[in-house]
Parts: sequence; C-alpha cells; structure tokens
Amino acid sequence: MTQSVFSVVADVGPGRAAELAATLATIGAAPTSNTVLPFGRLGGLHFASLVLADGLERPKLIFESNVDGTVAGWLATLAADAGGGLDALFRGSPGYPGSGDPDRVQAWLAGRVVQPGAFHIGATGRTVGRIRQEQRLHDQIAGFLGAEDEAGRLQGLGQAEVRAQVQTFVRSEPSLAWAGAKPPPRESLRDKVGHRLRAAAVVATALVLAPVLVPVVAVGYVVLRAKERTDPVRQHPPEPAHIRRLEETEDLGVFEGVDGPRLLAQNHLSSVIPLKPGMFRAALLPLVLFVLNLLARIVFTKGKLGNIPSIHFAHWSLIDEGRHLVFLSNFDGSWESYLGDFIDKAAVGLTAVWSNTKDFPRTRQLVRQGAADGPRFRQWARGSQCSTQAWYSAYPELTMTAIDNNSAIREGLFTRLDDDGTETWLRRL
Amino acid sequence: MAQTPVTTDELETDDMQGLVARAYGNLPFARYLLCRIGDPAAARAWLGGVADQVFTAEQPGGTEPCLNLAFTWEGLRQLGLPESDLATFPRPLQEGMVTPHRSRVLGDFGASDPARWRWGGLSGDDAAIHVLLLLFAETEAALDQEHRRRRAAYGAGGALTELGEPIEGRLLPDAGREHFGFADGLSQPRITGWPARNRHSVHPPAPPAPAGFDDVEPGEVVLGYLDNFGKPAEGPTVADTPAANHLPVAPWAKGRRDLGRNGSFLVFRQLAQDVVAFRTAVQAASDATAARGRPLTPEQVGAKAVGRWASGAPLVQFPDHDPGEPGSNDFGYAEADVHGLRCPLGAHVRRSNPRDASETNPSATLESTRNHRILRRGRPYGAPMPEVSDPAAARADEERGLLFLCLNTDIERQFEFVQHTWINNPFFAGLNGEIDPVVGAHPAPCGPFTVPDAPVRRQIEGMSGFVATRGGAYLFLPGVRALRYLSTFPG
Repeated sequence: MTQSVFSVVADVGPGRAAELAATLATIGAAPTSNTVLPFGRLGGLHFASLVLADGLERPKLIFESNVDGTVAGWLATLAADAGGGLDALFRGSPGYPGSGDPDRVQAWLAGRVVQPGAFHIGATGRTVGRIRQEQRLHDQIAGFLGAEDEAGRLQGLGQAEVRAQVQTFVRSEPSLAWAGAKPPPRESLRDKVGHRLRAAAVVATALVLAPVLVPVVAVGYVVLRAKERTDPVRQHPPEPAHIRRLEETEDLGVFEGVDGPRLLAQNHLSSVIPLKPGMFRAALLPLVLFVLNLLARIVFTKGKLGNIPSIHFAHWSLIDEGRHLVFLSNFDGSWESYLGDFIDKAAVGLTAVWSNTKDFPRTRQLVRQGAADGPRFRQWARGSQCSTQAWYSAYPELTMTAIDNNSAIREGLFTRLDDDGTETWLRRL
Repeated sequence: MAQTPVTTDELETDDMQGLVARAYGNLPFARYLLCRIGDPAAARAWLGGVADQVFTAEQPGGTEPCLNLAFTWEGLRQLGLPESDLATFPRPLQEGMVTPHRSRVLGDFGASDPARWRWGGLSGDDAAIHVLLLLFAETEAALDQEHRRRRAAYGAGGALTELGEPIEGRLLPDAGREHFGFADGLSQPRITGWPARNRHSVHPPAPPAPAGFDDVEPGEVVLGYLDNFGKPAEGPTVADTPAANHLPVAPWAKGRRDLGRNGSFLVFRQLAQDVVAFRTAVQAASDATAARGRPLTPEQVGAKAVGRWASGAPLVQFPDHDPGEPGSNDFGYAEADVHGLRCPLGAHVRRSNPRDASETNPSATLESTRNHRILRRGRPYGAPMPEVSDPAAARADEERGLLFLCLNTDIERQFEFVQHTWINNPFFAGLNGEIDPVVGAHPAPCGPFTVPDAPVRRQIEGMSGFVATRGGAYLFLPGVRALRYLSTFPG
C-alpha cells in the first residue's frame, strides 16, 4: 500500500497567532476526539502533528501528515470530512477559501503541500488498519495462551503442539477469520523494483557526467573544508525555560484511553532551523537529502533507519523558500534515548544533513564529528527544537518493534516452519 | 602570581573525594547529614577548615572515620557562588530532582510522589537541602563521636543546621546484600587508568573482566577528564579571578576556570523496600507456576526477576541453581543468552546494564551501553527483616530500604537514562508493556513480567510496587581544590 509523508505549510493569518494557539491547544489536549479536528475519525492517518513555527519572518503553521494512500486522497478526505477543523486552522491564511467549497479547499491545500526532501517509514507498506488488526491478533493469542497456561494445559507440550493449538484457536475464532488469508507483502514488487531502478539511473547518470562532476565535487570539497573551519558553532546551552517548555509534552508515558490510562510508547519531535547563509549550503543540502532519501527507499525498508529501530515516520523538508529546514519525527521511547541513538548509530547521516544549518557543532568532511560530539549535538538539537502544539498517533501503545513483531506473527501463522522457525515464531507470542 | 595548574590525563586522586574511589565498605556505619546553610560567611569559614579534612581517593582505607561533602545547587548559591557561575551547572543540578518531567522519567509518582517525600521533595524553600555531609565509621560509637566533633565545627557561628533526623546507612549482617536478600553492587564500571589499589568496594574484588566490558573513560565518572566521546567532561566553571588561580583552566570555556575538575555529580535517593510484599509476590508467583504444572521455586522466581541468584551468581552462568558465591562479573548476553531463556530480557540486572544484549550487533550495543553507566556508592538502611511468621506484624515494623547513591558526570545521559530507558521502559528490549520486576514504576497499567521459556514464555503477575522513593537530591561532589575555592571566594 502506498503511504504518503508530507506537510501542508501555510502562513498564519495576520493577527491570528493567539487565537490559533488556543485552537491548537484544544486539539492537542484530545487529539483523537476533540471537537475541532478529531484526528481519530479520519481513516488512514498514522501520525499527524501541528506545529506553529513562529521563529520565521512570517509565522507558519506546519500540518504534518503520515497517511495511507496518496497525498490527493488524503487532502480530499480532509476537505470532505474535516472542513470545520481546517477553517479553525487556516482561517485568515492568504487565499484560504473556507470549507463551504471542499474542492477549492482541497486545491488550496494542494498548493501548500511541502514534499519531504527525505523521509523514513518504519512500518513500510502496512496500513493503519493492518497494524491495529495485527495487534488484536497478538493480544488474542496472548489471552488464549494465558488461559491455557492457567488451566495447566501447557504442561508437557512440545513447541509444535503449542503452535498447533494456537493455529486451531485462530481458526476457530470468528473475529480472527481475516488472519487465515495470505498477508499482503510489506513492500510491493513495483515499489521495490522502481526504487532500485531509480538508484541505478542516478548512479549511471553520475558516471556519465563524471568528467564534469569530478571537478565540481573537488572544488565543492575545498569550499566545504574552508567553511567547516570557520562556520560559527553554538556557544551557549539553550535557555532552560525553552527546554522546560519542550519537556512539558515529552515522555508522558501515558494517555487517557476510553477506559482509563493507557501506555504511551511514543514521542514527537519538531525542529525548525535556518540554513547557514549563502548559496553553497542551499545547494548542498537538497543534494544530501536526495541521496539519503534514495538510501531510505532501498536500504532502510525493514523498520530501521541507520541502525535505529524506533522511528515510525520521520521526514526532513525545506520550507520558507529553502531558508529553513524542518524535521518532524514520530519515535518510540524518550527524547534522551532518541538523541542517544542519533549519536551512537546515525551520526554520519544526521551530520551530513544538519551541518548545513545554523550553529551546528564543528564538522569535518561533511559527515565526521558533528552529531558524534554528543554533548554539543544534544545542546544544538534542543536549541533547534520547537514545541509540537498538537500530535496524534493512531496506535500510541505500539512501538515499531511491536508492530514488526506482530506482522511476523501474522505472516508466520500458517506457513510451513521447521523446528528453528517454530521456536522463533513462538518467541514472538 | 600562583602557577596555573596544567590539565593532564593523569588521574589526580589526591584531589578527588574518597567516594569516587570507594563505597567505604570497610566502614559499616554511615550517616548522611542533610544540612542548611545558616550564615554564609560562617559556612565558608567552616568549609575552609574542613576542606583539607575530607577523605580523598588517594588515602588508603583504614579504620578511622571518614568525611565527604556534597552541595546542592541551591546550597552553592547560599554559599555565595555568583549567578554567572551557577549558570554553568548542568540543568539537572539547577532544577533539582523534582520537576514534573524528571518525576515522570524517574518514576516518582503515586507512592513515590515528591509531595510525600521525607526530604528533598516539594515541601518548599524552608526544606531545601544545601549541604550533604557523608560520615563513615567502623563502629556506631565512633560514628557518634565523629558526628559530635563535626557538629561542633559546623554548628559554630550558625554555619550549618541539620535538617531533620540524620539518615543512617547500615551494611546488613550478610555484607553486600540488600534487604530483598540479593547481593548488590556487583557490576560497576571500571575507570580506565585507575590505580588498582584504590578499587575498594563492599565486596571481595571480582576477577578482572576483559578490557572493554566494564571499562569507562575517567570522564564518565570524574569531571574534567576525557569521557567516552573523547571530550572533556564539562563541569561547572568560574570566572578567572586571582582567587581561582589554583583551579585548572577550563579548556572548553575561554577565560574560565574548571570548578568541576576531580569532582562528580552525586545522585542520592532514599528507596524504601517493602520486603514483605516482595516475598509474598515471589511466593504467590511460585504457587501459580506449580498450579499450572510448570513449577518454579520461590528462589527461582526471585532469581528470574533479579537476573542473579541471591549470592549474586548471574543466571547467564548458572541457569539452574545458586552456586552460593557471586561468580564472575565477566559475562555478556549476546552469545550465551540472547533470547533470555536463562536471564529474562526484563530482569533487573539486564535492564540496569544490558551489556552486549543484541541479536544483530553485540559489540556496538556494548559500546552504547558504556555511555550510560553509573558508579554506585549506596548501602542499605534500616534493620534487617526479622524472620517472623506473621507478615502483617512484620509490615508494621520499621522502614528499610536502600540509600541509593551514584556518581556520574552527565546525569541525563547516565543516571536518568538508566531509569527511563532501561528500568522503567515498558518496551525495553522489545518487551510489550512491562517494567522492571524488582524496582520498576510506571504511571500506566503495565503487563506481567515475561520469563522466556520453552516451548513458550511464562508470564508472572504481581511483580511491581516493591520500592518507593522517600527522598532525593542531585548534588555536586567537588574536588578538594574546588572545596577550598568555595570557601575563599568573596561573599
């Protein structure tokens, strides 16, 4: 299934900042079910966020969407089913037509879509429906095994017998009838081949153009090294009050479900940061994002970005005529562990991107040092971060690991497994 | 003009307080005095006298009483440290342990809510701690005498006043065990380059682990030295005034002197342990496994929860029985037990120090684990649990638990990380909504403790709610030169 990762970025209407902040607070307080824009009622939405970027020349509202299907499909859904909410967000924004005319609203939104320069999807190809369905499968099997154990019916059983019992249970459970069908592939063959062909074409083009590219790269490298020695870096830790504000909505660990408090596995991170001044960075950054995006489509399709196993959806995009870089991420665990993963496992890629933005820690050869300088990178990251005013997750209790594990349970449910395969499968339950 | 001290990589143990080197396990009686500064000038005068009397990491452990000193950020302000210097302390020191966010990530809510703490909590400015005196002695009489002697000095001129009752730390008769009955403090980071003679603990020395397993760079524990990232561990700095001449320059901050050098950040938490509840839960879990026809003894349930047998022997090495002695601390998880069939993925010691536990990349995992180690310096408090048959009577008995103390140079990356990303993380190691079965806490309802087994995992109910925080503070444990500086700067 196609998935789309993008933002709608619109200027905030003049004099509307305070009113908009209040609206965002209302949505943020109950993202699933608020009366303004109840994200929970919109099908196919994995994660969404609303970020008020007020550090720009003209304040902008960034509406992040990570959805099943196409951009056009999602905008049509929004225009048709969330007109009132869109009015509350975009009223007063230049040219916003108002929800009376859904077609024009959709066209207006389409005109403000910002496609990411690079994005990552953890649960490649799996719809919201499938992710939730497979979690129910996991829970029902766990319930079945618990009851069997409690009744003493697991004693003395071998692994093949336990697996057979689980299979029998799933077959006999009407609400799990869907699990008997062959699961769709996580990534379609068309996507898989398409991404590789694109990469091959890029490499071939680069080879053909090598006589031109090599001198350009050589000159670029010299310029880069000179800039890396002199670019200003952040000198002071960010204001404690700024960090405290960010922490207000971080690491909550719990959300209010319909029947009481539930575990919240995820966090959201928003960052809006100006590029370093000049043409050089403005040209280099899109190139870095392009290469990274290609890698993300081909290499990082199995749930991990770099070696980071905890990212559901993340993307970088350029806004404000390329003057600001936005990073939006929906990830598992704490901010501190996410940044730790950045530093330990993905410093090279992150440095390549963020070294083009203001005050980034000292780098060498584009990818070295930078994010690997843990303390300074963390300070820089905090400084570049901004509050997420509203954030929605369709499955707040699920980590990326759990989603993959549930898919593996489902995919292996009725396949033929040898002893090792059975052992591995049982371990997932 | 005094000579500017040159920063070297050599460990200046004579400038470090003894707590960096030892847990004072040779001195069974400890007293922790929470103090407030009355008169700042008197406090500075007292500090000037006592700075050269603190026990250092250089001195060999004997039988004489020892004194160490630590300050909260507020305490340093009371002492007269200017705002511009106070601002160089890391945020956890400035904000303290009880901001809403820290309470969330540390698991301090419900029974551990800072509003209910005995000390260090949310009881207002009058109750704020300024100075912590750590006294250690061989006998209770010697401890009392040392306390009286010290009090005569800091009581004079209203320098310090004690806040509430002193906190008494006592090794249990079975030295090295905590109140639930398990050997504690076995796995410690080892500082690269640390002189071996200074490695004292409450335990007989463990056989040396191969390089890399427990080794951390000095800057992970002591400020001013290179840390695991090859950068100096940045502590607080002060303006480069003549009074600061005997402090080394801070290479990362122009025109500043390194107040942190040879110091560390001390995390202090009083953790009450409900021994009756723990034993009852372990027995109930054992009974349940028996009823299900897959029996585990109470000893086995306890060992699965802790990840070590009562003796300290790791389950990875001794999956079936307690050999009766701690064994070696030289073990990983990746090779012997990657799926947790011996030591469960969510067992306490595996959460507190996951070592190389990873299916795909053990060496990188070990590297990353090394960045989140803490040097523990705690000991139990309260009398040992009496052996009584009536649990209700035992519960009415006095409180007992662990005085958790640890040293690190980056509280967020080390102590707090261990708490929220390992101990209290419901999704640690791919688990699905459960917390540490011995010390964990989480505001949302969590699932049972998973014990991997063949043919299919067990799930053990009821393993939570045994430990409650009763007090806590983040403190600065300065080096000796820094103590002297704090006593001399103009008021």
